Amino acid sequence: MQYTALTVAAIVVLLPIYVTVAFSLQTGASALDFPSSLFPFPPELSVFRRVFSVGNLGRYMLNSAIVAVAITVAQVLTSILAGYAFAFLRFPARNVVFVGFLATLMVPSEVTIVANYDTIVGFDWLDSYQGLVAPFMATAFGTFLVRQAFLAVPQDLRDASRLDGYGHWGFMWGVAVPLARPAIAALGVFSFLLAWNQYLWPLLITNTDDRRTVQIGLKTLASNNVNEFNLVFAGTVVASIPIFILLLVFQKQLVRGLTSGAVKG
Amino acid sequence: MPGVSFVEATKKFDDVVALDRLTLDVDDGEFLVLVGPSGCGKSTALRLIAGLEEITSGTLTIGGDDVTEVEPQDRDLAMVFQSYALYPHKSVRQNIEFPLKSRKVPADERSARADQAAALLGLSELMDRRPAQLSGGQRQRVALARAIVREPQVFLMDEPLSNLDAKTRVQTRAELSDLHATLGATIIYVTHDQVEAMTMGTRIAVLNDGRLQQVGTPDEVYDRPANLFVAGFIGSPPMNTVHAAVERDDGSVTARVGRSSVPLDGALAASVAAASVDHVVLGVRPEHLTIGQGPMVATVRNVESLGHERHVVCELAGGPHDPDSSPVAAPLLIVRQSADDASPSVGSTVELVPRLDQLHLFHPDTGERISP
Amino acid sequence: MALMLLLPSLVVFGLFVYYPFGRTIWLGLFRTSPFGNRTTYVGFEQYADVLASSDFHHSLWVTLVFTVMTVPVGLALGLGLAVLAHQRLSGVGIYRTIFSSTVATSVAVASLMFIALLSPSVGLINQIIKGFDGDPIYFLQRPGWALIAVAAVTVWQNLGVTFIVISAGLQSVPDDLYESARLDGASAWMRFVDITLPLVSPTLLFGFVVLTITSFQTFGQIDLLTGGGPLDATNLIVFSIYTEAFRNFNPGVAAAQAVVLFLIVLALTVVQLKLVERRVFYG
Repeated sequence: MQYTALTVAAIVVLLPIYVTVAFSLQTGASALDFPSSLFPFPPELSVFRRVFSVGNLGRYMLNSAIVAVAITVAQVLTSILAGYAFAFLRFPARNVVFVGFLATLMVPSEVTIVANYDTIVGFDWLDSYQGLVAPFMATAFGTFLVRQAFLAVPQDLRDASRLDGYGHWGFMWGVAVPLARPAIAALGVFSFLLAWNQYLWPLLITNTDDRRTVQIGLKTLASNNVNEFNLVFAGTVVASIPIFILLLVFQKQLVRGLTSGAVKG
Repeated sequence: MPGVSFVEATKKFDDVVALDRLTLDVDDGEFLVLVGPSGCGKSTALRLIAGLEEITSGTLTIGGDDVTEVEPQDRDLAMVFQSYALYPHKSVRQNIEFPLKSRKVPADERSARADQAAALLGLSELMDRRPAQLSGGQRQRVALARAIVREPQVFLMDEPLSNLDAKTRVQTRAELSDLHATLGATIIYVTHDQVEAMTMGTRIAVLNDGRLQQVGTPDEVYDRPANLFVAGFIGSPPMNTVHAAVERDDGSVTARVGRSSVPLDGALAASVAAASVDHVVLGVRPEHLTIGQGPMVATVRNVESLGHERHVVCELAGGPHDPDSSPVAAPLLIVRQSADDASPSVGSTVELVPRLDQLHLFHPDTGERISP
Repeated sequence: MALMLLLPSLVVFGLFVYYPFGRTIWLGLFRTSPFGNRTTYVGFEQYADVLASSDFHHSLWVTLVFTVMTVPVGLALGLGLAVLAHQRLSGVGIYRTIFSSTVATSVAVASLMFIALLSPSVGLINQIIKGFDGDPIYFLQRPGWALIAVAAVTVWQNLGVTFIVISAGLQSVPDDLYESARLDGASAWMRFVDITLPLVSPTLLFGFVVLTITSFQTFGQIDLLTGGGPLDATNLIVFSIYTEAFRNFNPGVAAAQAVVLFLIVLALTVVQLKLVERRVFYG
């Protein structure tokens, strides 16, 4: 009984994914007949080669990987530095600056796209990796997450490290960061996921295949191949595979990132 | 001379005075225990020496040099924390080597010195474990090893035994004393436990409310407490203290409490005269009272047997002489008896005999010692 | 030292949050002439025009309807899945992974997957309808269906996150509460109403606020599935901003709309937190 309910729910949740996979494995005619369309035997795999040749998905995924890794590394670094300052240093106007950080959470990125687009044009960064990465190199959410983890590090450890001969820099990298590793890992997975899945910003500032990310690449693939739908679905499947694998591996970190008090989409 | 000296040292946190004009010299090689109840300023004093807090006014010198501007890592001292402050993500070896790493000691020397410190503390088998895999006593030793590996001139210890179980604590107490003898370094040790203070310190400094109450060897502090606070704090059970009226008759001087009257000998009488008071607080340690034929009359309220000895709680007959001195209706005295002595029954009336050469007198208003 | 650590973040925020936020407000004060690069300062006139514009009202209305369609349904489904998966059964971990799985889908992937269901030519639903000799339903091309279709994609795509967050809320409810309720003879439904709901209500509130704000930020589904149409039936506010700025080249109007969006999101956050807080068990 309990398993019936769970299984029905699982089928409903998985249906769109399953149908997409099934349709990607067969050519035109056979895919149009229900219910045989749901059982692609024998699977037609040649289309997956075309995803990379015609669809250029390899390049898009490379671009996404470059951009997502750069954003993740930058966000983790800036969050560690700022989180450390808020957790371990006393300085004038600390609360004001902290509120200033949190205030950035109140401004959805959609609000500032017009002005940010102008800025990127001004820097001559249209269709560039810099333009894709730079606006997202800092995060108040990540800073907050790391700060919370740092605040849980006992003050005695800071005192001990001072006597052991370490300044803030040595303590940060030798003690605080290793101890905050779970939170930092959660931030890393979360940042990577958001960066990989970005849509509006890369749509605005990329206009060649050399810089298009995979999300925009899927749009291009779909609009250029309206009649070859199995190619479109194959592209959708291929584009999803890396992130599904990533999340299977880092499920724990992602759950931690999502549930640590604030979710920003 | 790497001694540590406070001169009129004061530390305030905002408006709260944590340490009030402390003047104290710690000699080279000494095992000095700072003892007092929580919030008395002892940990603050230690953190000032460590450089973890900045002094508000006054001076602090280490080895004769003013260290106000010297960073903690440049003070040539090591500290053992109450929580041990071990780095949880590092192995025992990495923890012990950590202070050497920052000082750019070469790797092979680092590991040799860590081995040496570990051997001294019996940690050689545990070098690859993480702190979470160690018992409390083992963690405590790792913290000690991390301190001694640097061979500092001064060790600071902040309640290092308070998280240990009773048996390990006794054992470690002895080990620390041995270590002091072996290393010959200065140890400044903070505790709230007067037993630790008495058993370990070459000298004891008693603090209360941010002020230094008394400094001296354990025996000096025990035998001649400087004021009522020290009398009550050092010794377990604490010294009995009762308000008494001074009565002079024919050249003999007595202290009267209710129906009891204790004769004061020449030296005590002289000190009362010198202080020119007509009331005193009379102090006598529980082991200096016996039950027999004597000048004090009391009722037995309770008998607590500890196995090897017995504490007899007695209520002095006639109540306090000074009506506004004490909220307690009748002063209670504790008599310490050997288990071999006959136990009085609860409710019986007994006479108490104080050792007249072991009486202490304190000023009734200031609480300061007036007897010699 | 502190400045050095904060500087990288502050530079990024300054350049890409604070400055563009101010500039967006500023841009709203200038009107771009049709056919030309000439811009004129018009003060708050343009803001007034935007607030009075029936197109913008429509856009706000559609966004609101979209929010009402997605948020309660999404929360209810997420709660349902979370309660289902919150049982001590062997193999329940696999179901948890399945229910979390849509968290891995981007908006583009989710949209294309729904084309596999909804497309009039190849979509599974229309295949079934055709199998019964029915006429295909043009889900994305009919004003009555398009918003529902986009809402369905959105609910599905958010389901993973909603499930994860609510599950975490459920896990923080101590087991002994359930055990003691069972001893008291409470039925499964009573346990859900009297224990589960009140204790996860803070999590639900949190999800409610986040999902509402997310729905006001919706863009990708619209761009990929309907392009705002048909007949502006899915012209949600962010898509409207995008169209004004990058299709109609009216940055002033887009900026003014963006400021309104900001104010709505701000107000939503504040009002929701204040209002709902009182009805929530230890909110």
